[in-house]
Amino acid sequence: MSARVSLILARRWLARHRGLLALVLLGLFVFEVGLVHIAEQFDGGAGMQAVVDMLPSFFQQLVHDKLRDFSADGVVSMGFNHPVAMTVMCSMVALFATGTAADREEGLLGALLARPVSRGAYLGGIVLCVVLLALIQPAMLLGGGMLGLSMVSLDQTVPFEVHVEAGLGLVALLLAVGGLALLAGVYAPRRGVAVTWLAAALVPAYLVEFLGFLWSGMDAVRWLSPFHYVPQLPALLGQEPSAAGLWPLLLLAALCWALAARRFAGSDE
Amino acid sequence: MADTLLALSGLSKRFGDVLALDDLTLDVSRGEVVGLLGPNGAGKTTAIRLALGLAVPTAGSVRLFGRSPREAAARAGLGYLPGELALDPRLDGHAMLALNARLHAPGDAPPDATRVGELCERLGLSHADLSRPVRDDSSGTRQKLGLVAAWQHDPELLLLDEPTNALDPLVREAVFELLREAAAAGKAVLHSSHVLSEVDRSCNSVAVLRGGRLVERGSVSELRRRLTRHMLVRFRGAPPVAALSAAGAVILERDGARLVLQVAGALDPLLAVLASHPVDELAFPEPDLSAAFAHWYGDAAREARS
Repeated sequence: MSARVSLILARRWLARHRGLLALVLLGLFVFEVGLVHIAEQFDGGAGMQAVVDMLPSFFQQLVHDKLRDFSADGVVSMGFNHPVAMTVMCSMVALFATGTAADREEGLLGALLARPVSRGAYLGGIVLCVVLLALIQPAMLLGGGMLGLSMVSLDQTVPFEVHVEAGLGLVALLLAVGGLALLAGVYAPRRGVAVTWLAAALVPAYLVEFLGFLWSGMDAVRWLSPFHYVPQLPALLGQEPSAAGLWPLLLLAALCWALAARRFAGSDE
Repeated sequence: MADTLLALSGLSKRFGDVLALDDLTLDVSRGEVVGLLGPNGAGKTTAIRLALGLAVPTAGSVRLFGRSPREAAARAGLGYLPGELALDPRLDGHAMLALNARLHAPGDAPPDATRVGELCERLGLSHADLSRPVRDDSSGTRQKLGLVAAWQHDPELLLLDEPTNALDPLVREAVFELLREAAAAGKAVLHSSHVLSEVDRSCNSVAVLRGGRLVERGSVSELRRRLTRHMLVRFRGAPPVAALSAAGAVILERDGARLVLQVAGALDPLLAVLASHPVDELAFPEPDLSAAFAHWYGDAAREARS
């Protein structure tokens, strides 16, 4: 009964945001295809090298590793950790995961929970949506990347499986973000409050990891950022991503879901 | 199944420093339409939210169909209309009722279209009303949708918080009729309201809350009997003042042979006095609950003013 109710509620959420969801998924796909075509304009990393050679030496050192972004190996991964893609994907996950706060804000939560809907089944519906979004958004990026690569003549040295593993890292990250958003949604009186709390946690975390990628001075705190555990950066550098790196993200997701369920089970609504 | 469908026992709820409900004990049984009366802030909505499991009591317990209301299965036989009705503005009436039916269906049983159709017809909801997004509906149409949603799965117990809000008189009549039919069919209803005349018409018993406490509980007829009432009598000749006082009547006004009496409790001694004296005129109006309301809340109003 609970699983059936969770499915009904998940369908309710998906139906509510179906237009936006379709637009975002299409956008992610096109975005990744576009990145590959842009990389082709620079003849992959080699073409970009000519541009970089014209820059002062400091900038040449700074962007040396980033040249791989324009290689066939790196371009797909670049889409995976691009700030635009990351912002869009995390926002979509947050939109669904903060559903508790949205229902509370609209006065719908009490009416739903007065029906034979258990609190576990209610949160289960949201978790189902988060899992679906965490799977389908990276899949669209991956699909777009693969389609783009099939359309251009860039040499590929990283096998497809490496990109899939990098995509799994993104799945784990989105699950962790979903967990944090779910927790915020359970506590917050309104969706805006929940999203603000989430942004206050995620934006600094992203900046810590992003700056840490360029400057070793951030190494002491990088482990605190969920973005640190996403293995697309090793993929970008031509290294094998490690599945072990996903565990902190999956544990964070599980911990947040458990805390949210505990809080929701004992709260007034 | 036991006759008591809802049992609130020693129920209290505190929000910070505010004691919203204080030691409320109240049962709602099959065939009963209980009016939960009280002014705004008396604790009616808090009591209903506790009964639904939407809030956790500070003290006391709630049994809904013999189970904790926090269990989803306990709410399967329940119909609920909130006082501040919120419906998903993106859905139209059909989609809203279909979602509600799926959440109440024990399996994948399809919604009972016949019952929904009958309810819509009685409450004056047209196909066009049901086809519009809820955000475009008037408050009256939304209230009707809320009533259909509360009733559509033929619940054993109905918790209705101000069910006639925003309804026109004809639809109110339909709601009262549905309430009477529910009671006749052995269902139970808790009808929260601050509109006395509605409770007087629709309920066969009343629970009165004041400041979070239950101040009165009984059948409407019992309460009427216990009320202080006024009687106007014009005697043909000198009024038997001493005999009237001995029979328990208090003379409020006297204008020659015309008296306004205040009477309470059993009427037999007073009627015996009246029967033994010639009377030209007698008026003894049926008391309504408004007299009781003034009695119950008069103190509260005075306290508020002082």
